[in-house]
Amino acid sequence: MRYFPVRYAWMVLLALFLSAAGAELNFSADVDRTTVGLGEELQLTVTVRGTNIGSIPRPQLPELSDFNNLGSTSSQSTNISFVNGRMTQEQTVSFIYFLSPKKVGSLSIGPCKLEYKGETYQTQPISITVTKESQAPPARQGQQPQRPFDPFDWDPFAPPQRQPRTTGRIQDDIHIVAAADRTVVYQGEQVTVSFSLYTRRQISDLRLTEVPSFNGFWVENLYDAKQLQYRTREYGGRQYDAALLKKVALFPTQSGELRISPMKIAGQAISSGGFFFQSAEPFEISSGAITVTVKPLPEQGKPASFTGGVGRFEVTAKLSADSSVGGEPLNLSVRISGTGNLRLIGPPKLPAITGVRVLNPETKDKTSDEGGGLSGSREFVFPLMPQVDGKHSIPSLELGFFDPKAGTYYTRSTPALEFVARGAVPTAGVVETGSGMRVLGSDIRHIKPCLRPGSGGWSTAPEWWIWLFYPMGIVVLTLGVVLGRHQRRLEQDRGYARRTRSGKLVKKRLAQARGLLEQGDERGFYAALSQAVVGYVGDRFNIESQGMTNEELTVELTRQGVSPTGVTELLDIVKNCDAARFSPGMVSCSGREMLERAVRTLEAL
Amino acid sequence: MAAELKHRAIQLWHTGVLMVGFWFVTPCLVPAYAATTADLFQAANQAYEAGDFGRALVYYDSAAMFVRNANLYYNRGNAHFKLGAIGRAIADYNRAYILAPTDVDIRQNLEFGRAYRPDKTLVIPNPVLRFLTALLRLVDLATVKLANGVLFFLTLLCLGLVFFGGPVQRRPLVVIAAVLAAFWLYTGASWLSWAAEVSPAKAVVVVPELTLRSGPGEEYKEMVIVHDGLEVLVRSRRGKYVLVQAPGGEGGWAESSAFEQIFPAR
Repeated sequence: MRYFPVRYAWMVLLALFLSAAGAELNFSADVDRTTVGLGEELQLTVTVRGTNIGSIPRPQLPELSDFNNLGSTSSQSTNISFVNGRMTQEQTVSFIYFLSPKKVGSLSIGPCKLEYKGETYQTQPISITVTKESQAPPARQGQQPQRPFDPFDWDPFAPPQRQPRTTGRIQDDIHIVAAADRTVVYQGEQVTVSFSLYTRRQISDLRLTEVPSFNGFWVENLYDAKQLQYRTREYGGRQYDAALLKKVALFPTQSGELRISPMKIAGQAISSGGFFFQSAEPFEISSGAITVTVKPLPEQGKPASFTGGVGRFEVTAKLSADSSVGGEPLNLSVRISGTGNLRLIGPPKLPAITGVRVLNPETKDKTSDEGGGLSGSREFVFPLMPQVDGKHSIPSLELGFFDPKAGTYYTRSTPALEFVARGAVPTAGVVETGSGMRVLGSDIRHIKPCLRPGSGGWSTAPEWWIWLFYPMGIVVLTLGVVLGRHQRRLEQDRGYARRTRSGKLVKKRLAQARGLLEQGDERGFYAALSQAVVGYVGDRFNIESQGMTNEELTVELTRQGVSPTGVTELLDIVKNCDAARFSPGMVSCSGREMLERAVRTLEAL
Repeated sequence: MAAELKHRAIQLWHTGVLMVGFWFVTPCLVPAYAATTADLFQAANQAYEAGDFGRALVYYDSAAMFVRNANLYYNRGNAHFKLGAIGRAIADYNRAYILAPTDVDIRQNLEFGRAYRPDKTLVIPNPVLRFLTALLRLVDLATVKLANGVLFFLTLLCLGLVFFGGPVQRRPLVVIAAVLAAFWLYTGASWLSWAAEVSPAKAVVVVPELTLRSGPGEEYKEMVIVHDGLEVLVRSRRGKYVLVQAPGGEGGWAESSAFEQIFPAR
């Protein structure tokens, strides 16, 4: 019962915490613009933000029947803050989807859902207005395309820059060509795939009807046409107007035969019959599929520091500061730069650093596709929290990667780094070093050489005998109290003293009488027996019985509560004893019988 | 009748032989047992010195099955610490501290282990409380228990003599009883202080990271994430789950296998 209020307070605290914890995860969806031209690209960003959250699953997108899903990517960042000595780790994961509307009008992106730790989170629906006109900002003069019209919403009234060719069948005049720069690669090696439109006819109402799928690849979107830029190209021995529709960098995440499905587009092919007489012919065409043969990375020579990098990379490391005061964290930035599958490279394996806690890194990417392959940098920022004071060394970090051109593994390493922590542990022991720097206990104290002698046994030693002291103490105290009280009463209360001692005295007197009887001294026996009986009665009831007459004794015994039978018996014994002493032969019973009778009578008192 | 008497005589003879045998054999067994524990301890220390902390731990665990010794727990805590098991190290340092509260090395390593764990618990010690705690923990728990029992008996014995004796002996006996009672109260307070320390509700997180939830199951909402080495109080148990409270009041449910109960020791 004593602990009940504490338990109650604890439950209240728990309930308060429950209510506060409900707002830990923030799930939202946003678009880069709410008005978009038909066929233009729209960026939907679904963001999950929360403190101390683990791995977040990919959110469920709503039914997007009015949009083409052109691809997706994701990014992640971590923010660590300290409030009143308490660390909070806020993580933000953004899932970015590239969408393209299929029709003009007011469209809606329904709520995205996220199932996380048994809870379902949902975003607000987003309304998108899709116009027929392009909403993209006008291109700069220097980048003006040869034929500036929206490929997915061509304006027939815009002045054509190039007269379409109208001769021949549509299948011969319009093609989509899917091309890969290589079809046999190592796992993780880049494959660049482009989809181009080749046409000899003027086309309108161009729209994407089937997006190619890249199962088994990590996709980096390099180019999506917002305006078609035609150039004259030869295809199948004929001249075409060719425009790049889409270009992606693919990084196989598994080995084997991987298939890139075709892209399909539909539109109207314009046939010219004079200035006022044009006719449109609908068409739908598809590119061919591409099969990529992916070879697994060789196991031979794979360094322990390999974290998935395929390409050519360099690695550098630096610390945000060379000292830390009061346990403030530092950042160790490990930057991997080069050409290859940068986004697939995992963080380098940081060895355990004694006295330093290393938190999960934040990842920052900077990539571009200039120079024929995906290049740039990936930076891992490790927050370091010093746990003990002193000089801390961060050992050299290694990064292993596979160079597909050379067909072998390489390893790059960073130089070792150092920093000094002060004030992380204010109470640690101090050691003076030769350099004069004060190093505060950076390790535990050493082991003991032998078992501690006589070290107790709060669990092995039998404790039951310790508990005996308590009842024994109570017994001793009780005895002291009782015996002391008895002693004082014996000293102060004569009646109590006589009564207490009466038992002993009568036994002594009866034994004396018995001895006389055995010696054959009948007179002496009866005298002693009479004295024993009268003396016991006197001691027992604290009366001067020796000098009393039979009548006085009767009155006194009756007053003391002795039954009339008992009084009569006592007096009869005394009378018989007197008679036997002074008139031998007048007593009918023997001395032994008289003794037993006296014992019985006294016991009955 | 004669047969029955003979049978009883044989029974008595066997019992006598067994008792005599036990009387002589037991003292021989006890040193052998002690030597085994000491050997295990030394073997563990040798493995530790050689840097083989895993093997040292196996030996320390074996020795801990036979004795409860402050140095054994201290060394085992060191082996746990070297293997990165901060929670188990803190649990062992706590056990060693109870057995030898005045040992500076044990207290140093306990504080070091606490400073090393990821979850920092800021405790600003009240100087008065700190002084009182130090005063109450001058001797170990086993000694305090024994002293409390003996002092209780002697105090009541003196009081009994006060009641029993005459007025001449009463005054010095009262003074002696008062002094004994004061010591008895001190050891009682010390015992209470130690009892809070060795509460079976005390446990340590022994997994690198642990999510405490609002209920006993994976389906419940996550409340707080704690890490290896955090000392918690077990408030309730349900099946394989326990409700724990971290310093500062926060807490939640998690599987009991993620914790090591400090007392009674394993």
